[in-house]
Amino acid sequence: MKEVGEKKLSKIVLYFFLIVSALLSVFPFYWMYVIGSNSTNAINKFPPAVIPGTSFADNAAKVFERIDFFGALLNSFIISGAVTLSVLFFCSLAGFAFSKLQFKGRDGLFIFLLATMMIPPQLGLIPNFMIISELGWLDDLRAVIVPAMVTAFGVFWMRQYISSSVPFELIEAARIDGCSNFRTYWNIVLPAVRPGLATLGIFTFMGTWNDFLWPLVVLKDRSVHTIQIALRTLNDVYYTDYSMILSGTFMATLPILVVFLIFNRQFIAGITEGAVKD
Amino acid sequence: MASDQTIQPAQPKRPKKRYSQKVNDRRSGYLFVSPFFILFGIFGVFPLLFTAYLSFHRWNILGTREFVGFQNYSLLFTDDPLFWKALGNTISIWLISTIPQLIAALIIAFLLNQAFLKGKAIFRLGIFMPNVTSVVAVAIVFSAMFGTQYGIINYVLSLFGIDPIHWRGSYFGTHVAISTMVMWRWVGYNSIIYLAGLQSISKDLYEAATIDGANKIQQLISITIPLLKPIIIFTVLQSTIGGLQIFAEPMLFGVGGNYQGLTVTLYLYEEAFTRFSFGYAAAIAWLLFFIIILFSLVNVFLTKKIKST
Amino acid sequence: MNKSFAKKIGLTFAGLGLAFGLAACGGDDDGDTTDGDTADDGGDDAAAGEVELTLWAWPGFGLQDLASEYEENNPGITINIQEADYGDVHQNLITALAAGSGAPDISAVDEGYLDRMKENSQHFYNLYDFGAADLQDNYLDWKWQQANNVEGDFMIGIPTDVGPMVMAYRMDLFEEAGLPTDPDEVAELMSTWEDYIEVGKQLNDATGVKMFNTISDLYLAILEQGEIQYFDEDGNFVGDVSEQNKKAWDLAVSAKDISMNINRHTTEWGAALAAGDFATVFLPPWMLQNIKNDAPDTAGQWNITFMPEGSGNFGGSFLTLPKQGENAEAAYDFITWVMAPEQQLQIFENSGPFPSTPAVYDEPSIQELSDEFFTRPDLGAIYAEAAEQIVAGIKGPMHDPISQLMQDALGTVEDGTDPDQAWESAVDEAKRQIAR
Repeated sequence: MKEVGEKKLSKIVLYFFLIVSALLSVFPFYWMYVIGSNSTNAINKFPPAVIPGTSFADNAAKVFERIDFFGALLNSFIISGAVTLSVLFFCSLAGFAFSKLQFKGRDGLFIFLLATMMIPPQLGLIPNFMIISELGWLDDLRAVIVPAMVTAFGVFWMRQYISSSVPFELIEAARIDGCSNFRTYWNIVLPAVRPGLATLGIFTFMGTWNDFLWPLVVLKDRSVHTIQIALRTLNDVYYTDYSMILSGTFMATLPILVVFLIFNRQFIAGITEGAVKD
Repeated sequence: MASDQTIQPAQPKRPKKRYSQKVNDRRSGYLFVSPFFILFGIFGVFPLLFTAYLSFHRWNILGTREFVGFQNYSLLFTDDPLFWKALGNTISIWLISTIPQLIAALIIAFLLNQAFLKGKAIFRLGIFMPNVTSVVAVAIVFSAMFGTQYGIINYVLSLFGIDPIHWRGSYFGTHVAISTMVMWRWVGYNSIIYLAGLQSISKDLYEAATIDGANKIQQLISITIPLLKPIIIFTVLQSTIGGLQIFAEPMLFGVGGNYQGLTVTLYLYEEAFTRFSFGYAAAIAWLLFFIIILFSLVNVFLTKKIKST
Repeated sequence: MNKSFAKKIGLTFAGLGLAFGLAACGGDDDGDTTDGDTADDGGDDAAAGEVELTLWAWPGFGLQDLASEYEENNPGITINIQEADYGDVHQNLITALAAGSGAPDISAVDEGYLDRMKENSQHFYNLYDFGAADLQDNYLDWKWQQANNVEGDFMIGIPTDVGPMVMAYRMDLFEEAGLPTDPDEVAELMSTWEDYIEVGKQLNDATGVKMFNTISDLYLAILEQGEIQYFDEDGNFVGDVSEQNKKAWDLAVSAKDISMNINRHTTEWGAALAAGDFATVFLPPWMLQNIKNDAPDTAGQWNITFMPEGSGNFGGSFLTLPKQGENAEAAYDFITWVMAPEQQLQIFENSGPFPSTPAVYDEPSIQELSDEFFTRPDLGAIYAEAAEQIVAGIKGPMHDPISQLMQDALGTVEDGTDPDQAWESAVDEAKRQIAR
């Protein structure tokens, strides 16, 4: 009896903790909608406005008038989609090699790869711009897609994930069956690391979607703007219309939530599969 | 072609299987990791060398370039209090934000992984939300919240009789405000990473532990953390790199008159793009690069230690 | 074994191809126009009279309508305006110039960046080579001088708008403190900065309301009224001894008690305006809208008069021609047309930037610019007068970074640092940065 009560209590504490964390996490996002649906001076109110207003449609209309919202959205989808697919493939492949294949200089190469993550990106702007300009890719989506097709971060993550979740026995078993390394990767490793892939997929998609430092430098024509760059052009030097900006930002975030939910199913699928295996 | 020839002389058609597996592994290994290195060769090596070259020059970004040897570096070490201040700020903000962030993330992931929990997908989405929100929006929202005279946080504090904190005018205030922003954005992210790692830990282990009478906290310490080691190393390293390169948050929040919010990458960026001293900025970049490597090594070492105790 | 090896390569490339394929789709989709552009820029088409001019600017320039009009009147010319955020335009321009390619035919440059660009004038066309000297009389003299090098033989850009400063004040708060509310009387009462601070203290004693937002803004307003600020005519740093700099610093420090300690353009600034917690704002024409949006409930409580000791300038830009552009002649024709007096007037009427061409200051649309929010029926006239009072300060490439250092130092004074110490460390840092 007592034990059951204790269990119940700890469950309540757990739910309470999670609900509070979730609310804290969601609040600024919600507030974005609050400001986006009010007039701009709502952001100055003290105590602050916390209830959505009625002007969301007006603010959104202003956004659509000033930028090619859907065109930019499409560009963002093309870029993020292409980058995500390519990152998932190449990074898991390299991660597999780094964690399960023996080859000379492997550890040295891996440490080198880690070191590349530590280079501050801001200074790469000018030299990379020179390369892109040399390739003739200015104002071309390839300028953003190609350099991001495989990342040190992704390789590192997949290596760690594969080494923590794919036991060597599994690989050995595949080899005894006569699988080539690529077959082993494709048929054995990939299905086993679905949660890891889903995670990498979400992060890559989202990171690419939200990135602006580099796209800003190479995509200047309106027709190739990504959504983040297009949103930045809402910043008037003279006057910042917070409501309009936040309503645009809010709308630009919704697609990522959808993508998250899609990957999330993979995530869950991975879990149930694991459970079945157990 | 060349490799074909080297293989031909290896006489027997079926030697020990081990041997061919080794060759095979080596080839696939190089092949599988090559895309990264090819891309890095194009978009990574040139900037690195270019930056190294520049760091030995005095270069006005648009104008003349003059070789100055190690002068930029010696200036950094002997006559640049602002750089060291920026480094101190960076480390302080990194510590305040990273340690609680990783611990909180681990706990949240552990809780979210409990079998009986209902509504997993919703919690997961909720917790991940901050990372989806664009930094610019985050900065606008947090700047308003951390207002000294009209901000909601000081307002709430005042309800408890606490004096208003000067968020933009004091070291404590600025560091805490920026760290909060960082933490808020990355706790969910790290939780999701840990959660992915937790998926691969067999439920049997927990069941066995429960039967042995271990409570949840003991389970966390004796099962979860050791088995998550590769993933924890990953997050520690990533937060170290990300934390030491922190840029957007301080830029958007404002660095304050004492430069108490100035971080190294921000300083580097301003040196290059507002003061046009690209050579000097390049020297800062290289120094920062070494500092990050140093910190990463120490951290990985510590993380491994903690685990093995 | 070889077979499986080949298969692997095949698969790898299939993967690559997939990614490239997608990339190519994306690129082509949107690249069509771009590809066309590059062709247009090439010699063949240019000879045939087909010219496309790219122009970089930030939002708020109001050039789109005029560009369309220009295209209509000049067949064969298309103008592609590429907008980016203010900071981004400059960063992109710097990147393109440093990298040696990618700059547009025409780029807007703000006065804050102008001196750093002038220092590197080899990247820009000298507009005097196109005959710009003939246009000098159209523009405010101080604005024209800003675009020139010290010797006066290189002209980097055609002036666009200006930001003459006046002072807005809250009549209701002045009245509450027993001060005059009539603009002329207010101006007379505060003919010097010392008077202004004195009045501020009276107002603060009587009502508890502060006089202005932050002492670094007061500092800037005073500094901008002097000719020699941080650098002398020969480009030597004189910030530590310059009279205007010292005067501005000392006055600002002495006004610490009547300042809110809130920076412009923050949400707190808006909140303080809405709450009526400070009584005066120095502002260029474009900032009127900020107050209207941030504090809509204060309509009719404001009035406007001149600042103490003259005027000052805040903002304003130039249209420059980077040398990487291939259609300099055509670009020059366009920028001189679009920034000619009549067109500037049109821009002003449509979107608000204040013209730099005094010839149109007598036009009714400027003279009769009025705003009930700010009470005055002759807002435009007062701005026009202020614009002509401005003196051109000597700036130099490091002016803005140093100004930032001084403002930051004043920020710390406001937070409690000893002023002498703050001054010293700011001057030291300034010297350090100049030396790099």
